[in-house]
Amino acid sequence: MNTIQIMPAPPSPTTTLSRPIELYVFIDPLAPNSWDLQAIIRKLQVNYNQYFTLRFVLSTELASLNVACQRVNSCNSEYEEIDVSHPVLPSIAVKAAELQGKKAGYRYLMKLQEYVLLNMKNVRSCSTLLEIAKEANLDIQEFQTDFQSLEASRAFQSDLCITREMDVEEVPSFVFFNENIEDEGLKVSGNYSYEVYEQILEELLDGELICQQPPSVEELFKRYHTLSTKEVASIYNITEQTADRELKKKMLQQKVDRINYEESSLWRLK
Amino acid sequence: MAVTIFTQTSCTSSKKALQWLKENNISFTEKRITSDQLTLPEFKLILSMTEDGTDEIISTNSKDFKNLNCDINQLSIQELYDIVKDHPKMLRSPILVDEKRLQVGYNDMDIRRFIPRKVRAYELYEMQRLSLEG
Repeated sequence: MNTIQIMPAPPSPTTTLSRPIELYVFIDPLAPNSWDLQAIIRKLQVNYNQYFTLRFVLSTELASLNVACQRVNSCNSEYEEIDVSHPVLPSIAVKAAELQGKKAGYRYLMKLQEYVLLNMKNVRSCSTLLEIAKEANLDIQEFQTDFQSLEASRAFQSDLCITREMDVEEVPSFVFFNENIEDEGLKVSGNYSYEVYEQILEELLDGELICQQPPSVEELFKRYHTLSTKEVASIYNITEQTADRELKKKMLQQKVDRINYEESSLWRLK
Repeated sequence: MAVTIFTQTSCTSSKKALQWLKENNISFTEKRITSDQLTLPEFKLILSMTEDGTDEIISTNSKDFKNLNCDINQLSIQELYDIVKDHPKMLRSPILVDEKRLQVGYNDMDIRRFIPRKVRAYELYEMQRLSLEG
């Protein structure tokens, strides 16, 4: 029977419908061990991205921020440049980058941590933070405005509020919320191995986790830009020697650059 | 920070979301962007909570969007804002945002994320057990 039917409105699209877990990772962007932590987070994302949304919360120790601002004057022939340096600036810069979207913020954070790891420049100074924004492919004009805006500093304050609200006392800490709103969030303070976080995820989902196939190496580098040999080996479940060999091939194909770091290597998308 | 809900006139999902917030005693601020222009800080606040920038919040099916006939990926944030503030109906509705998350549209399961929850520390012995199992 053909009758006129009123089409029901399609369900509104939602952002988290298929991802039952909310994960908050509390970090100090300048912490020296943050690269290892990123490796764990990336592996969780590569394998189990379908299960969780991720939100980084910047929770720098306030005492360490309570220092005077330094002005670094440098004269050049045409005009005098004044560069300001302060430990709170990297956090504000991450929040300013985030105003262009979470992914932009994440790209910025990773680039910043790469600078910290390689100890290339003073990441507390405005000039370096701007340079990182360029490297992270941000809308530079917007970044410069936002970096000095009330919104970026409010966003950072808001992160500190979340830190307090969830009783987070050390970095790194992970807080997991499952779908069941009657359950409390689970806080995991300190550094643990990848397997521990994997197990917690499994426990919260109450079922066996389905691990996704890792993307191609090219895709992986497009997503994360800079990776260590160890990380690549861990993501593809291969030995470091094999990973090193494969990455060398990519280097010969002019796809990645090698950066020597301590006894290991970092590989950066060209 | 309380929840901010960006609504549009005669939008059923907006009404449902507002109703839900009231029923659950969640404090919120409503901003009806079809009558009260979206500000740049508000637009940036929304953007900062999206995964990918614009994909989640722009309604590509809307008349406003189709009439524009432009590639939004080519626009700067300022240019995009200039368009959105004059054509608020190209945004999906409602958009709910607090300091932790963004939700677009109304879904009675997902909106429950806005109910405040407590946090408990994962006990060390639980962790040890996991380490042993792992």
